[in-house]
Amino acid sequence: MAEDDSQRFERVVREYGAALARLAAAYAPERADRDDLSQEILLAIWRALPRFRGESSERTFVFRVAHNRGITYRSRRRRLPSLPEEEGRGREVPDAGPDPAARLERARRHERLVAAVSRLPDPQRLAVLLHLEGLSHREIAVVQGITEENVAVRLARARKALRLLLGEAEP
Amino acid sequence: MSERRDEWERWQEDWQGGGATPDTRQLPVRLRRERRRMLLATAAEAALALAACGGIAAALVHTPHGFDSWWGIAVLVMLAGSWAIATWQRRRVDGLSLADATESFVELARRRCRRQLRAVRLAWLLAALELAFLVPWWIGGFRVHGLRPESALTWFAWWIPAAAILGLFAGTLYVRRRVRAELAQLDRLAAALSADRATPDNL
Repeated sequence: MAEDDSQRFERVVREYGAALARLAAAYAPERADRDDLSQEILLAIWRALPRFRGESSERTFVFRVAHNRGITYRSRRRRLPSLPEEEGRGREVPDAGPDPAARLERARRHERLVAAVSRLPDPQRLAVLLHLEGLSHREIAVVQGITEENVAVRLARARKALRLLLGEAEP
Repeated sequence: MSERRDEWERWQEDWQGGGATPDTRQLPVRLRRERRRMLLATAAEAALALAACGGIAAALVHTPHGFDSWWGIAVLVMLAGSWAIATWQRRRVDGLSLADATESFVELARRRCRRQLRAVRLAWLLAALELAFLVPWWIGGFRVHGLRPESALTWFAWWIPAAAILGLFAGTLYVRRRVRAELAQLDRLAAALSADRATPDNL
């Protein structure tokens, strides 16, 4: 039986919900804004899904809608978002196993990366967010409307910048 | 090469270690709230347009003069036309494809902002034309009827239209400020995207 729109939406949230929340965090580092943007992204996907005719993969489609919503959100804000909240405040602790110390360490590394990604220039941030979610260069090129070569260039630049921001640059 | 891959893999692992599935229970409430807001905005716009058209129509019926009549009819037609165009444009904006590729979406969003700024200028022009028609009519009307500020007719003929025009001006001023700020951000993003369209040669 073919799935209807609401079933499809529920499946999309199940499959990509966590990824969309991470994406929202990179566009809106402050916690209150982050939840708000997550909801706006879901709303945009809910509205856009019935118009999806399979011209691209569903994953590409979902990320396109989410990114464009993130861009709109950022461009409508008067002030640029500040950096993420201090470590330990309002942090989401993912369920990564029984060891609380390992969980906290994982959350700390994640927040540190979110902070670094938030500071990247826009074009690089767009490419990096998708790459970190595991999209191929080809898929990133489709989402952004650029060539795979451009994607490679943006990611190479972003890698250098991320190393610096994370304090991992070679001396 | 493998170091690069390892680095990305480590970052991917760190990245995907965070983020919880968002709660979707609030979505229907948000959707209802948004629909209500859209409905209110459309109703307010329609009320304003009808009041502006109605005011002129009432003036024309009450005291038809040669030049004034033509001026009034022209403003009436322009008001009705702009209202129709604004409604049509909003439908197009609502249909703005969020599923477009980033660069074309940014371009579409910039176009939408420019269109909104043009609409604001048009609203100001129409308000000025309407005032040019109404002010002489107000002056003449007050003199002929000897109206007092608190009389019911003064409310309908002067206070309410004046408040509507003032409200229109304040509202469009706010929209213009917001849209200009948005356009500036989008322009910066478009410039950054375009500058970053590089080849590996200039990496």
